[in-house]
Amino acid sequence: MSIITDQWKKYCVIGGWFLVILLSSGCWDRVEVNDIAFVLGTGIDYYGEKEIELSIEVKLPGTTEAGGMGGGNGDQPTFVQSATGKTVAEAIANLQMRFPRKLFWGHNRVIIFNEKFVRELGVKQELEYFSRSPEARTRDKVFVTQGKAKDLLTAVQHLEDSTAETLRELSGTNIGLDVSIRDVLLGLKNEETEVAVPMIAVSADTEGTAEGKNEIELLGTAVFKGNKMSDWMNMRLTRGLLWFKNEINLATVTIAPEVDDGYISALMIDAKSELIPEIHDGQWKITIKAISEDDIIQNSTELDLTEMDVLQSVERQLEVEIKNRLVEVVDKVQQEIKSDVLGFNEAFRREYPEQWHEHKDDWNQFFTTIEVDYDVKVYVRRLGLSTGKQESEE
Amino acid sequence: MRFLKRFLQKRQQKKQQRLEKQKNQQQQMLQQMAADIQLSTDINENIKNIQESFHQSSDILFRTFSIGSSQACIVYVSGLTNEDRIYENVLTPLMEATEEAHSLQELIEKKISVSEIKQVQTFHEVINDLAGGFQALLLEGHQSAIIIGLPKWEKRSIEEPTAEQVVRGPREGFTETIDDNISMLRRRIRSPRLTIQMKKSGAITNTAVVVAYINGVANDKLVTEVNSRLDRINIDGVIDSGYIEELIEDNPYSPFPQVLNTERPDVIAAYLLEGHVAVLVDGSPFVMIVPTTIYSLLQSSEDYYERYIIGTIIRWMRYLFVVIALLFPSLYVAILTFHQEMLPTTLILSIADSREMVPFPALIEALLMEMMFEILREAGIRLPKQVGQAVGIVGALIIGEAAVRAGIVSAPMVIVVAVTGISSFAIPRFNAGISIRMLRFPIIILAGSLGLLGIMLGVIAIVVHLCSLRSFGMPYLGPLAPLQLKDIKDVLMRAPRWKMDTRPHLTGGTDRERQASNQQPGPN
Repeated sequence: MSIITDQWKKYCVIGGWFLVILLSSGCWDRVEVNDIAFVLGTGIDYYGEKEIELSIEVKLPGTTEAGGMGGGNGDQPTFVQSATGKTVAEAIANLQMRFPRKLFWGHNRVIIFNEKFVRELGVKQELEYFSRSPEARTRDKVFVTQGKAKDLLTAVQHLEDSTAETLRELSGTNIGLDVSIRDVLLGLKNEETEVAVPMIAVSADTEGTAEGKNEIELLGTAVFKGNKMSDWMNMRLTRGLLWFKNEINLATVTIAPEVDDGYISALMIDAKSELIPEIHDGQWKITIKAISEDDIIQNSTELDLTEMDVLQSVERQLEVEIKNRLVEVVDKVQQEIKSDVLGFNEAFRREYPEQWHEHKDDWNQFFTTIEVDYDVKVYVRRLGLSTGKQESEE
Repeated sequence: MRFLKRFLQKRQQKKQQRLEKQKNQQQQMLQQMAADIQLSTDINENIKNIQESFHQSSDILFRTFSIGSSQACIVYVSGLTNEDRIYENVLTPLMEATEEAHSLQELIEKKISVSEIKQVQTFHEVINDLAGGFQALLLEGHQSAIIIGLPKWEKRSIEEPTAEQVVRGPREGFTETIDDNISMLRRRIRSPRLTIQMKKSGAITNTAVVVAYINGVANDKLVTEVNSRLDRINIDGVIDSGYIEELIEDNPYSPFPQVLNTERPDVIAAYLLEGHVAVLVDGSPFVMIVPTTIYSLLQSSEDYYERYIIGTIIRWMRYLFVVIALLFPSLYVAILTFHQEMLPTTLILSIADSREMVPFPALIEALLMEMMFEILREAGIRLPKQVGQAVGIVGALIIGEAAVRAGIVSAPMVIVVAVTGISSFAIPRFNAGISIRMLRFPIIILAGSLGLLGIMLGVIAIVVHLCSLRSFGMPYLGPLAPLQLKDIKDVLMRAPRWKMDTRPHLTGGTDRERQASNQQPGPN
């Protein structure tokens, strides 16, 4: 056989295989975007005795401005549907029956739990479904709402197109906690810090809002004991809690100096915190070291901050103010909530794994007895151009 | 299978028969030529024979006259001859001569004031030189003829090359006349080391093909290889350098050009200095450079004329453009039909919205738009300039506006296709750009059927092919694969002039050093 026929044979075989691969696989899991219903947010509520009610916020096609043609003009670009089931999977299967398009969870942003639901049933089984599903992301944000999750999804906001988007942006501002499915599932392992999830509600203040629109506000933080929610703390305490989680960012601290009328407000440009555990002679102690660099952003007093001793006294007062906030949080957590959301667990496990192991099982009891020390440092870096009243009077 | 085998065998046999037949014919022709090898002493017989050889063509002129008392005749092709100078330098001095019985040598030495002149004995030579634009002087009683070289023909003047324009750099381009082209090269490289070797190619056209290189800088083996590849060409005619290019390539099935061609003498000169070999073909303004790597296809002469920082940045952008031109539409199709989760939510939502009215799957939509783009491009090139503008307007309006408004295609797809098209135009060599543009179609189909996996398969296939490709023995991906650390300075970046001390290792011959080192400028 000559060379050319061999080559021909080779090409024929290769070409044949190529065709077989292309034709037999031929677009086997191809889904056009026109055949997808994008789920943006998910809400989980109680239904009946043991069943759950799953609500989803779905994007309406043709409603973004880029779409141009139909929709737009103030029409709500999303709609909400819900279905019940014994498990999330069953509820989703029931929901899918009502949709001519495939529900797609790849762009789900938030999962909202009803407060009663998490107090009684917990979050583990529901989140476990989402962590398994190849479509859903463990980056989705988790929230707890006082009312019904479905009501929250149905609420229409002024600024964002959907509740899901509003919530995602809200958790991005770092005013409250920023918690994803992954964080929650990690927290549920008992070596970790207890789970704390931001709590939200439809704002009761409807003054100034347009007809049919409701803003959503952060209420504080839902604190878990194991799988279930046990208590909650308000926004003021939540801000303090952020110090323990080293997530504090762009906070404003206001003090009223004793020597003069008026207030001084400082904006934290850079803030860091650290938990330093110690065990001395069986005495457990933890130090929270909080360092911040501040700008003075408002000064309604007569004090001249350019003078070194004045500035230093202001710094000390700012430190006291921050410390008070931290003490408040520790008192609340150790005496009322009794669930270690502060991260003492993790700090001791890393530093003293053996001693920690002895108290591992009754940690939530034991940690209330740990002594807490505060080491707060504030450095005011920039005073602003107009310092004190003298200049403004000129 | 058996049927196929028998079919192929038959084809093979037929081909062999045909080849043998051709061989026979050629031998017969050679024998015929050998038969009338000598010129006759009878001038009239010679004239008659020449007339017959040219089949009485009307543009062959015979001017008979007398030198003293002996008869003479000058023969030439009228369109290829500088007739003024024939009268001035040949006819007039000969006709005014009174002495008899000159020897031919004496005529050449004393009477004919032309620099290019020779004496030939065979009829065959006379015929070929006449066809090549030379003039033959026949004399009564002599068995040889004088060939005079006073050619002249209409030619295009030197212009700026239209396909490779630069902002900074020389503006002259090669023309169709090989002598002018060689002179442009000589003017740039004024060294005796610049070697010009001429040969004829094409059995009928007898086209001049010139191999140019710098002695010592170009590898000797490379020069031999180029010569041997040129010598084995045996076709009837060479109309453009493209004919030669196709016959000397290493891998004729590859979609990638393995020979670089350019209209710019400065580019040729620069490559010669790096040890490449240039092949010039008469009648074509495109001069070829071998060997070539994929990187030299992505370089522009301006990279070297602008400052090196600009050159480096632009090179990197070009590499990016290649990736965009090759993969952007396929990535779009793959992500839209298989991996919707890969785009940011707001982006996929707005794309989904714009696709809401589109009746086609993304794959069909992409192929449709890419086809439209190629049609517009092709139409734009061939049409006269005035109509070309109209095509541009119609294309922009119909595709950009009407098709989107009518809901036939989505606006993002138009953007994707436009970005891809513009990127492919940013590749400086037209032939490299077009092969990358064509490769994008199979990859779109792969992306539409296998998603990102398909794109990966396609890219792997292309990279494997590129790795195996050679251009005159030099690896096509060199100096990156195989790695030549010293040569990367001119591929991943454009090293400053004062850093380019050595010639590329793959092409440079024995003369490695290019310039004195330590030339970095600075205040003294």
